[in-house]
Amino acid sequence: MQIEQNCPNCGALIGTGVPGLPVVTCSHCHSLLSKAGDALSKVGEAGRVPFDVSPIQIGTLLTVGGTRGEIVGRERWAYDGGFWNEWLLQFPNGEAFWVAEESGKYMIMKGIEPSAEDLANLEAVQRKKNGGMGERVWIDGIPHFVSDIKTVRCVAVEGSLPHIIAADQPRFSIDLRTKKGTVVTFQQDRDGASLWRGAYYRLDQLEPSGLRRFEHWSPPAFESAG
Amino acid sequence: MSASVTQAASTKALECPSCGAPFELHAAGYSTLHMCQYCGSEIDLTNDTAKLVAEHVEAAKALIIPLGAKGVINGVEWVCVGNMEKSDGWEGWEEFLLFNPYHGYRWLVLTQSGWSFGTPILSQPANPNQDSFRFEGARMKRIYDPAQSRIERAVGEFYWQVKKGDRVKSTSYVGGGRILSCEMTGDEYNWTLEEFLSSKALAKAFGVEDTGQYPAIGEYPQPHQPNPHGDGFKTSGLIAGIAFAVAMLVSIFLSFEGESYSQSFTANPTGTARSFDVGTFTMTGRPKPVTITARGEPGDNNWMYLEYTLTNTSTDEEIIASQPIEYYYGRDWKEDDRRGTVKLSSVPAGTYKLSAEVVLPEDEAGGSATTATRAGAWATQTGRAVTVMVTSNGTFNSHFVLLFIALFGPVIWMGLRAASFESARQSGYDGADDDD
Repeated sequence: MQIEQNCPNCGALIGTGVPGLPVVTCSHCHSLLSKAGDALSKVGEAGRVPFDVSPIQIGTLLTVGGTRGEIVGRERWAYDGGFWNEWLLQFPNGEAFWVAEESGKYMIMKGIEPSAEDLANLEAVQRKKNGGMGERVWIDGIPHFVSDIKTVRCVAVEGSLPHIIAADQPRFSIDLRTKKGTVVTFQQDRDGASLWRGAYYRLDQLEPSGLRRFEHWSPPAFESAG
Repeated sequence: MSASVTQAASTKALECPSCGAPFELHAAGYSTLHMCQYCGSEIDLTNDTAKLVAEHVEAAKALIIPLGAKGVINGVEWVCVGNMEKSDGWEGWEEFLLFNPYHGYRWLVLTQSGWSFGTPILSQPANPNQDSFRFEGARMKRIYDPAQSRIERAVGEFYWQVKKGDRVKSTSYVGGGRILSCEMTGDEYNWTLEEFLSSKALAKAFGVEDTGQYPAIGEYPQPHQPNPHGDGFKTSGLIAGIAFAVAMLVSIFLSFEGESYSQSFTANPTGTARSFDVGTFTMTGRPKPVTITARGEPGDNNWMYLEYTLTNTSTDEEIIASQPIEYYYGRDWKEDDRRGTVKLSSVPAGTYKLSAEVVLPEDEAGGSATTATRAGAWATQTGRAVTVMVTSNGTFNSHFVLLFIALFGPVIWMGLRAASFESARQSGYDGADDDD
């Protein structure tokens, strides 16, 4: 049962989002709202997510590793020359993955705990800025090669989120790949550093349901019933 | 508007800030750059508004698949959103970018010889320094060494910041009727699986004109183009092989199944009884062969012969055949023809009676005195035994030879055509000149 409350900023009746996720956005005035118990308070601007034709929307169900989860929130990120969506996939047990949507491919990102040594190696690359491109970095004893270093910024967010992230918030990001194609992303922003291991999927491999509908396009044959 | 599910718009109408030409954005949220089809200007889409990056005044060029055209390939509908002309310095080709919001991006590649449908693959099937590797059960062999290609022209919307003059290094492999190509940018390898698409299928899918394919266009077949004679070769070979095996089996089967009668008879030179009946049998269906085998004892250095009469018992039509039986020898030679076979090739359906008459030297009018003298003692005292066996549905080896030629002649011809297609294909590969 979805609980509804008035937005403290515009007064519109809005859903209070997913239990356990401390942040929710107002779909009317695009305020970023923090939850403290039952109380909502505005902590910033969520921004407006630009028009796109992503097939995913809040409420879409996806299966990863045999478990079905629900898309509850989205962050829209951009850099000089590109942009992408990161969707928050929440599982019934409270666990969550980020689903990064890039040119029709879906990278499921799971948080991993970097060892102090790995973290030090990554921070050394970070200090070199673009000079670190192609550099070899050992993570979990496996050589990874730096394939991308960029500063990205959050354009807008919507739905429920695990942290306060304001529109235009910058984040430093390093993408690394193994020779076998596994991707690891190191992120550093005002909330600190984190490390994510990603694996690519096609949308049909995620057994989606509740996909977005578009004019002039038929829903895909692989969409599941529930 | 009764649909319970709200439908989002799928396109966004924009205008070229340089020439003012309107265009529709089909992959909003993915496309980062639009190259105006009419003036070639570059329009940045990374912000919500279309921002002019570089202004060009180029002549518009008609595309084989127009931007915005939709077509169904392998059961999925695609919209054409971009086109690039590329060249490796030797040859040029075109790449069309296709989009579907649920399926992502695909490529249509038009080479000098025809079309390919390319699907980006998510895994890294191999290190592109290898000359060959296994992929989904097929051995992939390198056909094009890593080489630079250049983007000569680009129009439409792209998910990366494509630029005219951009260079990319790529290499290709073929195996299992498919191409795997790899674009190498620094440490990043992007693999695309290319499946052959006939120009006819492409034209039908997008409702455009058929460009034709090798051999109508191009100098050699595409690496993954199915050999049009290869299938004929394999199929005709298989059919011929099966037909021949069946023919052999049937002939063996029928020779066992066919009716067979055997009769022994002893002709006494002093007596007058010379004729005997071998058997009566019925032939059905199409005309079939009848085999008559005889074995006799003419005596040493003597002869006899058998005269066969095959009589159709209802029409009284007769087929006459004869069989000499001889046995001669000297100090160091021997002619042993005590066995003989006569084959009557096509005996029509009907009931037949086979009778045989033994002719002995003694019966010949004015029989040779010498023979009589030489063989005298034995000949006069000993009866000459013969055994005649008649078998309907005998087999003819000469028929097998004809059958073999009829069945395998076309196979060999198709094999030669298939081989010439393959050698034309190989001549298009890198390193083709190093052979021989």
